[in-house]
Formats: sequence, C-alpha cells, structure tokens
Amino acid sequence: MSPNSSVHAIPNNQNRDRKRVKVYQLDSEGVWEDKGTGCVAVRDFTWIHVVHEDPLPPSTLNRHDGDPIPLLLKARIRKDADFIRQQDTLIVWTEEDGTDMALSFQEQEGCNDLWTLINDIKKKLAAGVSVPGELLQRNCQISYIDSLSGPDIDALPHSSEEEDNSQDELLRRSGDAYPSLPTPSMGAIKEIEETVFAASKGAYGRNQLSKFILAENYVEKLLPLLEMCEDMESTDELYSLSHIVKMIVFLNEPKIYEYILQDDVFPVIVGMLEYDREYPSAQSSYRQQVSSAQFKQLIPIPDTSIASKITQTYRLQFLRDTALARMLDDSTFAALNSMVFFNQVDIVGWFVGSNGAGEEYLSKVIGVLNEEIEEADGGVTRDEVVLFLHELSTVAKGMQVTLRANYYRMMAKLGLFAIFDYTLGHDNIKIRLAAAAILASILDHDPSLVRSFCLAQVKQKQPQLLISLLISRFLSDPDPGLQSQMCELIRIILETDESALNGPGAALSAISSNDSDTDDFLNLFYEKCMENLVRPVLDLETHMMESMEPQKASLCVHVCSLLCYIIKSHSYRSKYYVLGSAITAKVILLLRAKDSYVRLAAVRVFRTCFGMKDEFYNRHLLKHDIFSAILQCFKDTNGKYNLLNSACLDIFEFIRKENIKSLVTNIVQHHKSMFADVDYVETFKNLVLRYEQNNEGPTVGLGAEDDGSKDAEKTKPDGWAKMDNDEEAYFNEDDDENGAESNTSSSHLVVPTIASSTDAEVGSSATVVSPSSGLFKRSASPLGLVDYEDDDDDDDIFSSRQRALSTPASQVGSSTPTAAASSGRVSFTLNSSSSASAKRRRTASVSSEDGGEGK
Amino acid sequence: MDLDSQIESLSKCITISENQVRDLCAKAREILIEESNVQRVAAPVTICGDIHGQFYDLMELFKVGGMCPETNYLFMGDFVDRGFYSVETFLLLLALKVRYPDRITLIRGNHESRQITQVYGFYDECLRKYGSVNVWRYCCDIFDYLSLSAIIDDRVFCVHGGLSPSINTLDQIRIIDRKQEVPHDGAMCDLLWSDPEDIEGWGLSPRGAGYLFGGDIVGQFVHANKLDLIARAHQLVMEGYKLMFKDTIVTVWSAPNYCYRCGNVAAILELDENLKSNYKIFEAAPQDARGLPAKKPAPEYFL
Repeated sequence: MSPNSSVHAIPNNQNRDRKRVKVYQLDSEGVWEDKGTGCVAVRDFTWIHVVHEDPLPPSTLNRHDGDPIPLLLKARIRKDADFIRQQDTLIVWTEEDGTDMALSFQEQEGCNDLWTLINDIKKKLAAGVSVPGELLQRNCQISYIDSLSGPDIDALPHSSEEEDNSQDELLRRSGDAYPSLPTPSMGAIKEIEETVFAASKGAYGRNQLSKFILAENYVEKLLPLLEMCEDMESTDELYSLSHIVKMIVFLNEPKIYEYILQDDVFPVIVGMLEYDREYPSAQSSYRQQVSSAQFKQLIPIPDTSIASKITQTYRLQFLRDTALARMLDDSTFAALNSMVFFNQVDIVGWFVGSNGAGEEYLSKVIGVLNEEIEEADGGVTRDEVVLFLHELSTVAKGMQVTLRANYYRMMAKLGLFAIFDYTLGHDNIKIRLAAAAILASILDHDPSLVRSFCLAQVKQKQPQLLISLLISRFLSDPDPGLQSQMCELIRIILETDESALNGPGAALSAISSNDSDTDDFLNLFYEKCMENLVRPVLDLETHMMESMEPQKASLCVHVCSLLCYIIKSHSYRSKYYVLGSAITAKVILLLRAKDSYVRLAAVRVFRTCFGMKDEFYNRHLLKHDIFSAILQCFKDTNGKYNLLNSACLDIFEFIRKENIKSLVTNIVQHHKSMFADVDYVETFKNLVLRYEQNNEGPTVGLGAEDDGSKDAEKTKPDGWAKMDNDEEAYFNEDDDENGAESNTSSSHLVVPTIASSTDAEVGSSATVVSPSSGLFKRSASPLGLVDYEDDDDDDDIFSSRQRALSTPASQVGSSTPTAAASSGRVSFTLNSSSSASAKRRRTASVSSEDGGEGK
Repeated sequence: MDLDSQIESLSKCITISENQVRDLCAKAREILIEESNVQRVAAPVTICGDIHGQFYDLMELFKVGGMCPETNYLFMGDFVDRGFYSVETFLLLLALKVRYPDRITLIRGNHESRQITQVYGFYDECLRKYGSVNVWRYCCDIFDYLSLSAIIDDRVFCVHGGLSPSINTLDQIRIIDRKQEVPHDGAMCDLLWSDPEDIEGWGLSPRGAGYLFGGDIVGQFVHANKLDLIARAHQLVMEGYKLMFKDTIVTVWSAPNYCYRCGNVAAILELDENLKSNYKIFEAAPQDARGLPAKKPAPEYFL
C-alpha cells in the first residue's frame, strides 16, 4: 500500500511502515558523521522528525504535554528545497543553514515511502495548499516510528492491536491534552470510528483517548446510539458502533471497564457487540444471554462489595469467553484474565477471610447439604449447594497455593469432605459429575488431604470410608465417563510421595503430609480396600471370556490399569498383594477375553511385572505358566501387525534386552514351538541366541553380539523402567549381570547424545547430557514437555499468552510465604451420620501369607 | 442417530452428544487396535499435516483436496489444540475413520496426549462444550490407540515428528507397545517430537522432547529402508510445505493462518498411484464462512 492511499492502513501493513534510519551530517572536513539511528516520521505536515531509537523511559512515553521528546533530527520540507534520492535507501538534502544531511534507510520500502511523501508535500506547497486542513489525515498516515523488532516482523505479523508503543503520533502533534471526538450522534459514528481507530494504534494515542473518554463520560453518550441505529435499521452504523466499543474496551483502561460492567450499562455494551462486520449473517444474542443469566445467591452474601465483584467477574468472563472471544488481542486477554484473577482472589479471600463472615456463610451453606432435609429455608436445595461448591472449588483451583491451602483447611473443617456420601451416589448425573470435579480439585491441591481424612474416619469409626465409597461408586456407576474419572481419582489418592515427587502439589504435600500418614493409609488400603477394588477381576470365571458386557469389560480394563500403577508405585505392598492373591490367575484369564483391548490391558499388567525385574514376580508368574498364556495370546494374532501383536513382542524384546535369565530360559526351553515359525521379526531368534550365549559359560562380551542400535534402545522407549530407588537397589543385588551389561552397552552407542541411562533414570531428554556421566537429569515437572519455554515455533507464538495467563498467579505466589501457612495440620469435620456403634470391619488379612509363594 | 448423520452434523461444525462420542470412540478403538505401528497405506493418497482444531480450514482442505471417501487421506496428527474447534475437528475425522476405515488414516501427533491437551486448549474446550471432562477422557483413550506412523507403497514414510536414534529400520517400530500416554523419551516420543535441522547427526531438541536430526541421518534412514521420501508435519511452514536434504524429507503443514494470526498458507501433498507428488496450497477459510464459536455462558452462576 502506498503511503498516499487511503487514510486507514490495513492493520497488518502497519508494521511495514515502521522504518529505521541512520542520520548523517556532513562535517567541516567533508566526512559524513553518523548522528545515530532512529525512526523517521513526518509531523505537522512539513517536518521530518527522527526519534531516538533507544526506548524512552515509560515516564516520558506517557506524558501528554510538557517537554517535547528530544529529536535526533527535525528538518523542514520546503517547497524550494532540493531533496535528492541516492541509490535505493538514501535521501540527501541541504538545510537552510547550509548543512548537508542524509537519511539512510534500513529498507528500500521505507525510503520509497518518505520519498513519495516529500515530493507530494512539495507539490502541495507549491500549489499553495493550506496546511492545517490536512494535518490530521496526513499525520496518521505517515508514522514511520520505529519497530524495535526489525525485519522479522514481516515474517510473523502481529495483530494490529499489538502495535508498538511509540507508533502513533497523532495526538502528540497537537498541544492539546486530549484528542477530541465528535459529539456522539448517528451522523458522526463513522467519524468517531475513524478517529478512535487512528488514535488507538499507539500507546500515546491510547492514553490520550482513555483520558478523553473518561473525562467526557464518552461511553455513556454512545449508549443511546444503539437503540437509535436499531430503530433506523442502520446496519452499517451498527457495525461501526460495535467496532468503536471494541476499540474502547481494548484500551484496557480499568476505569472504563468499571463503567461498562455496571448493571445498566453492560447490556447495552454487549448489545453493541452483537453486530460484527465480519459476520454479517450472524447476529449474536448476547443481550438475551446476559439478561437471562442469573446470579444465584443461595443465601444473600452479606458483603455487597463481594456480591458485586461476583457479578463483575461473570461479566468479564462473558466478554473474554463469549462476546470478544474471537478478536481478543494478547494484551486485552491478559488484562481480562488478571482482572478476573484478582477479583477471584478477593472473592475466595473473603470466604476464607479472618473476619469470619465467609466462614459463617460457608458453614450455613454446607450445613444445608449435610442436614437430612431436602430443602432448607429460602428454598435452597442441597443440589444447588453442590453446584455452588463445584464452582467455588473450580475458582479455588486457580488460586495461589497459600490461599488454596487456607481454603481447603477451612473447607475440611466445615465438612466439605463429608459431602461425598450424599453426592457421589446421587441419582442425577450432574450432581455426581460435580462431586467428582470437587474431589478432583481437592486431589489436585493435595492428595494427602484425602488420605488423612480417611484415617480420621477410621479413628472415628465411620461406617464407610471415603476411599471405600469412591471404590464402590467406581465399580457401580452406570456412566462410563464418570467411571473412568473415578478410576483416575483413585489412582491419584494412591499416588504417594515416593511415586509422585514431581507432582504439581509436590512442594505442598511434602510439607503437609507426613510419611506415617501415607504409610498408615496404604496399610489401610491394602487391608480393607484392595480386595474390593479388584473384585471385578477376581470374580472372573473362564466361561465369562466368551462374551463380556462392555461395562464389565471396561471395568476390567480400568482395574488392570490401576494394577499396573500400583505395581510400579507401591513396591513391596503391591508385590505382596499380587503374590498372595488369586489376581494373577484371573488376569491371565483376561488374556483370553474376546475383545482385544481387554487382552491388551492384561498383557500390560504382566509387562509391568516383568518391568520390575524382580525375581519374586518372575518366579510367581512362571509358576502360573505365564508364557503359555502370553504366547497363546500372541499366536492368536496370526502374525498380524496390530497393537496386541506389538505389545506381546515388546515383552519378549524387553526380556531379551534385559537378559532376564530365568525368563529367557523358561521361554526357550518350554515354549520354543510356539514361536519357531515367527519370521517377521528378529526378536525370537535373538532370544534363542541370548539363551545359547547364557549357557555357553562365562558371559563374555554379551553386548558385543548385538548391533549397537538395539542396545541404544536401552533408553527405554516406553518409560517402563520407572522404579523407585529401593526397588532399584533390590534389583541390583538380585541380578548383577544386567548392570554389567548396561555398562558394556554404553560403549556401543551410535549416538553420543543418548547416553545409555541407568535404569532408574527416565527423566527428560531436555537436559544436557554428558555421555560420560550416563545420567539424564530428571525434569522437575511432570509437564516437562510443555513447560519448556518453547517447544516449537508453533508453541512460541503462544508463549506470551501462556505467560500472560500465568503471571498473576506466579507473582502473587512468589511473594507470599507458602510453607508457613500450609504446614499446619488439617482438621476434618466428619459426616454427622457417623455412628459410634459401627464396627470397623475386618477383612481377611492377606499380608499373613506375604511372600510365602516366592520362597 | 447413525454414523452418516453424525458425519453430516459434524461437517456443519455441530457437536454430537456425549453418548455418541462414547460409542464412536468404542467403534474407533476396534479399528485402531488392529492397525500397525507403521500402518500400510496404498497410493493414491493425500497427505496432510497439522490441523489444530481449525475446523473451517479443514473444510477448505477438503474443498481443495476432495471429500473423503472420494479422496484417500492420511493425516499426520495434531488434530487438536490451539484452534476453536478441536472437538468438532477430531470427532469428524474419527467419524470418517470409522465410516471409511480404508480411506482415511490417522496417525498420532504430539498434541494427541493428555498432558499437552490440558495445556493447549482441547481439555478446556471439551469442558466448555460438554460441561464435564468425559468427552476429553474418551478422546484421550482413543489417542493411545492411534498408529505412530504410516508407509505408502513401501516408499514414503509418514510420521508426525521425525526420526529417532533408537530406530534404524521400520521393523524396529513394530516392537513398540504404543498404547500409552506419549512418553517423555524413547523411540515413541522421538517419532512424535523430533525435527529435521541443518546439522550433522543428532542434536538436542529445544522442545525438550525428541531430537534434532541432520541430513546425514535422513540419508541413512532413507537408504536403509529403501524409501523415496519421509513426510512429516509438526513445524509451521509459512509456505505450507518445505523440502529439505535433497528432497528426501518434507514438512507438510495444513493449518492456514495458524492460530488465526500467523498469516501462513497451508499445504497438502497429493501422491498419485505412481507416487508422483503434487503439492496443493490453500488459504484460510474466509471469515464469513466461519460460524461464531459456540460458547454459551452458563444460565446460572453462583460465583
């Protein structure tokens, strides 16, 4: 676009107008002296300005009058001056005082622009055009002011709203404090739109515009226009009005937000936003949505400022998620987010506040839920209370850790943990989902809270523990999605510190839970709950494999996934359970299930056991003739390259690579016929080879027989080797050969960067690895992949938004001491229906036969 | 409602019910579990890169490339996150997969993961559109079954990210048990995360997962596996596609104006029955072709 075309540049082209120049002055010795680099613009019609490139301190940027910003160059375009264009990027001229000056452009395009403009201006001056009349238009057109970002900007254009601060000079030109917008009227809408558009492109203009709008109560004056335009059906004006409002909102001026969020103003604002020039066919129904949305106060909130904050927050979210969702720029998105966040901090802060008002309120509300009556006074139903608590916990989830800790400590005291009796088994799926979400947010904060609560329940001799309740709901809920959620919740509760040191709540749980609680809980779990949890699998009979209800099948799959988890995480406890129960035989049955995804789930349980590299497991499984079952399952795939086939191969490949001798021997000695004809992979051939090597005598150069690449796979493609240290130690003393082999193999690596890690280390490859150390550093966060500040070019673009999202929380979080506040013990209110007479049921202890099997 | 009407609905960017999603996923699982880690595909086929929930741009893609099943498609992952319509996009592709299993191949991208979708949008979108995380769970379960790569007529290897130092031959991919969350390292992770780069050998990836691999590595791999070409996605290319290393590897990117703001064009790669390649470039759907994102606020709120 040439600089002389229409007044309103297409936003994306704006960046291209920004041009950097070097200013030269010819000194007395005939040498061009470099005066510095800056950004060129034409001001006041006839003045070429070059502004220093170095960013000015914010205080100077924001001023609206007073001292002018010092310029690198200020040169007047005279009609008689000779401006000479040299090469593509140079403009040279002589000042009135005889000084020779030159501007050297970084880019030809910028030089073209200024050159055209100079000639244009000279022509007009020659024709005697009066200057002031065109000032405004001219100036908003020609603003070359600098871009600090250089030429890359063209490769990845930003949206117009991200314009660099210093761009717009429109308002700086006039000595006035404010720009003036026409008095709102239908006829002036177009002009208003244009002026606001021009002004809102730079920080200075935006600042001035905000001041003007506030000083004049300008938004208020715009409001009647909506009705007028709608009455007249002036569609185009409606589009302009909508555009004006958007631009005003995008100024991100807190006082303007405050105004537009008011009860009587907000509906008109969203009404204006219903029109969108880009979507002529679709008018939204924001007004209707906003007016029908109802702020339900279960019990009137005594603090009116908090009540109005809640409404305000809702409206901000409406703007963010609905009315402005498609056109938000990063800064407005960040501004809305931070306003929402700080409002929520205040709201949650009020609930947990030290003055006790919030506590009193919550205790009344939760009281409704934990009483036996369906409806309390004021018509508050228990179900509404659940939905309220759901929203509250969703909000609390986003709060910084200290506030969250306070929140949960109070909620525990008020009886939040006791609501699940009523909610988890509710007839209405909506309530059950809400309950699951509330529990999920507690667990997200700190799983040890739930464990401690269960222990407290035991002490109080409660008839049903929360964990037992959750398990029974998991086993019986008719909704498969919810069932899968509950499976995940159970898994998180079973996540103990040793297995999840890098979890999100790690720092906190390390403080608030103590080891003995975790131990006690796991003892309790294995003693009282484990059997129930795996019941669907334990109850399996051979004949059931023919056809299994989908519900039953998916339950078995969930149980298998939990088994995998506990085998990996609970070291000896889960081992004793597996070795001492009938579970193995039953999971073996599943290898014959009709649905292959069920068989697959069973295969993975055994893969997990083998992955532990524990001779107790190995002997136990061999006793169940595990390979007959697995190889049969494998054979049934008929060599078809499918998931089940691959999963089976993965087991044999793992055993071969790790050279687990007892298993290698068993497979080759007893089952050779089952795989003799498998020729589509080398796995079995190599397994036999390994067997032969093992029996040849001393294990000389085992690794050398393999090609290096296979050993390189020792980095564990699937992360199975995640075991904790004591198991690792256990394994090491049990089976030295493997350690020896991995040492040998590291010398065979093709690639120096993938040092063959020791088995316990499966951290991220993100950290720089020294091949000699042979260790990967573990990434601190489970989100290692995504935390990385920019996982790719694609992710890069969003990092600013990600940062914007995370900023408020992290700022606040980092400025508050977390440890002190969260270290206190949490006390729980248990369900009032607790009955002292309920006896603690004893289940048969499986631990009495611990490990007997393996001996 | 039968599958065809679900496809019809999804093609208009209208979501199907939670129960329908559940049933659709169950059917998809039956199909995907039978697929190979290196799924065999016959030419002619049209190869597509990242879509990232840009539903209306996917419709542009179909306009340019032809509808399924008239055209055979291979999508190289990253169906979800970033765009406004991950739910509709993924479900439509999945429904087409169930309806025409031999006509469309879906392989897994690094965004088809529980962890990544919780950060980059799909999780939130499911929650917003369905009110609970159930649909997200169903979809994530299906992600685990998606194949890791594909091979077209034994000559063109397709994968989302790239190569892995632990994989020299395609046979080695067979031994991966893929039914799991994308791990943080190892062969499966590398296939979904790595990038080609002008280096020699292997390098650490700035992404924190996978590796960078150079032309020599590509050369060896192509030679060892008798390939003509490796097609992959995973990286934004302003021109829609980019050939590297003497045309032995190509990046195909199919999300025009990525994130609705990058200003890039998108491409698809058509391979005819003789594996002759033809790149087609397309631009983002015009604004007025797009609906407004369906984000109805809750009718009642407590907070």
